[in-house]
Amino acid sequence: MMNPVLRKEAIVTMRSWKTYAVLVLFVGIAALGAALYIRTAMYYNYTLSFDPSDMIWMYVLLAAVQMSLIVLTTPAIAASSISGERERQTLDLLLVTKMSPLSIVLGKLMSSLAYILLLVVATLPVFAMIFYFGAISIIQLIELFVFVLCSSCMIGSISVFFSCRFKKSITSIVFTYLVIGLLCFGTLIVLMFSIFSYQNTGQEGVPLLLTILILIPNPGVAFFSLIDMQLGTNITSSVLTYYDDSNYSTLIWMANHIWILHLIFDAVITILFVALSTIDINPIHEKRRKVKK
Amino acid sequence: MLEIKNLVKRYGNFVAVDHLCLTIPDNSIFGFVGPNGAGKTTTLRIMAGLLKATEGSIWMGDVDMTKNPTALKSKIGYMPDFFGVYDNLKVTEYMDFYAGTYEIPYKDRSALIDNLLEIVDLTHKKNDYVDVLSRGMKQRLCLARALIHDPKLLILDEPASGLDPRARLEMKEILKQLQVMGKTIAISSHILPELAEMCTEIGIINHGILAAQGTVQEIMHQLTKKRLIYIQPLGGAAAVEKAANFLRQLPAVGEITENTNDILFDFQEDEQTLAGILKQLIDAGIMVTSFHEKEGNLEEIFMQVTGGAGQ
Repeated sequence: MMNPVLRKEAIVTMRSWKTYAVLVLFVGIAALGAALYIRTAMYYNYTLSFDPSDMIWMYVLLAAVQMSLIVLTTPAIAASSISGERERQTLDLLLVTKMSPLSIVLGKLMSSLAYILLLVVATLPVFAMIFYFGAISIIQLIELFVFVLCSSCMIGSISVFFSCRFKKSITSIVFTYLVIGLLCFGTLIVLMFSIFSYQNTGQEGVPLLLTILILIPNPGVAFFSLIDMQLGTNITSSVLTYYDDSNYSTLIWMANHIWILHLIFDAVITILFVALSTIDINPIHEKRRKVKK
Repeated sequence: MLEIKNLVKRYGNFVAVDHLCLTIPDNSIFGFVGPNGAGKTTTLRIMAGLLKATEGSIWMGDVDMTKNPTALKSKIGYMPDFFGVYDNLKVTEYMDFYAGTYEIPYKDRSALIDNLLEIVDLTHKKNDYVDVLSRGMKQRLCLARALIHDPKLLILDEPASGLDPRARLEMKEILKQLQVMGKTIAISSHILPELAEMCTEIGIINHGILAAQGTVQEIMHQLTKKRLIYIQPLGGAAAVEKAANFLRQLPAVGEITENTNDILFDFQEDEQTLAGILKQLIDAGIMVTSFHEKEGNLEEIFMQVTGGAGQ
């Protein structure tokens, strides 16, 4: 039997005009990016010539647009999932039913992901333009979509957790964006500090393993490493191994595949935050919720 | 039978429910009455499995519900005092969603939903969106939702609050119908007369303590020495005079107040004696158009028990 929450959310979501507005906006931004790129590539170069191999950069552009849109959209959708029920005074009605807190949380997470999947699939025709020029393979596109969906899953689970924790959706949304900021920029700041501290102690640079470990949670770096690998430019590993000439093949592999390590990170975080959310909405574990006397 | 044993709920130093013990017989309509903040909602929420009790247990048959939440969920239907509905969802879809949460097979849902909507008289609204229904209709829909898994016990927190008199009456009729169908109903209100009319038994709760439990009459006996009986004889002042003189001869009748058209007297004996007084009046040739206990007394009892709080 289909998860009732997912089923209900699907009906409600597809009936709302907002869904279609977001879809139009999402596909519009991607299509506009693609159109502007093609125009620039065709008319704004020195020889007024067009090189079809440049289309690979359109893929990079579209992938980056999609990744950033998904990272920004997921909290807006998922962070109101439980707190929205609470604001609407429907959460108690859901908690007294036979549904376990885990299936409620999973239903909410899955419905947010289904929405994201819809957005991702809707941009396929825009991506299809690249195929006309043959810049990428379908496998690469699948890699990208899996990566984007896994990142969305990780961010979604954090959003759902905050949504369980806080009474107001707006608070959960803000907290989720803060966590995303922490993952994207906080990790870079930590890396910078460790570089300084290693230099101050007279060492050459931060050990490669530590650098990789600091960067794994960063969705931006992981995304860069994926595109880097797909284009075969190997920028990530050359930067990372600049100071570290260790020949450990495992470390080199890790430096080349930060995105795969990031996917594992996504899975761990998703499981962790789904578990925390489940504990949090279970009425038997009630701790902070104010209840009328 | 539902048995609450020594139920305690503390929030820090505040005791919301204080060693509450009560029994709700099968197939009864049990009314929880008490002023705002007396602990009614807390007790009902613990019964519904939405709150953890600090101490104590709730037994349904020989199962401790506080330790067995899964069994609890299939046996109770809960309707909170305040609840919302989803936007963009039709009445049948709303019911279908909750049928899903109770794992009711798809094939059984349509007939079940039709049946429940008929009970709560919402068949004509089955294709409407839930968010546009009136408050009374939402209340009835929520009741139908609480019945979707055929629970033995219905827990209704202030189901009549915010309803107009007609909607209240409809709700009352539905509850009576459900009792006939074999359900046990626990219902709360801060208005005693409202509950007294439909409940087979009531429990007055104040400061988290059960102040009294029993039928309305039993509670009156328990709490008051005096009951005020109202008589309206046929025939104006002369008949009042005659009736008053007759009543003065009866030992069970206390102080008598004569008005132009009616008589009030204090009474402390049992129901049997009261019925006997009416019979004697009629046997004495006094025509009586009205003979009943003064309703205002319920309010007085309530105020007396709850120390004047609430209302």
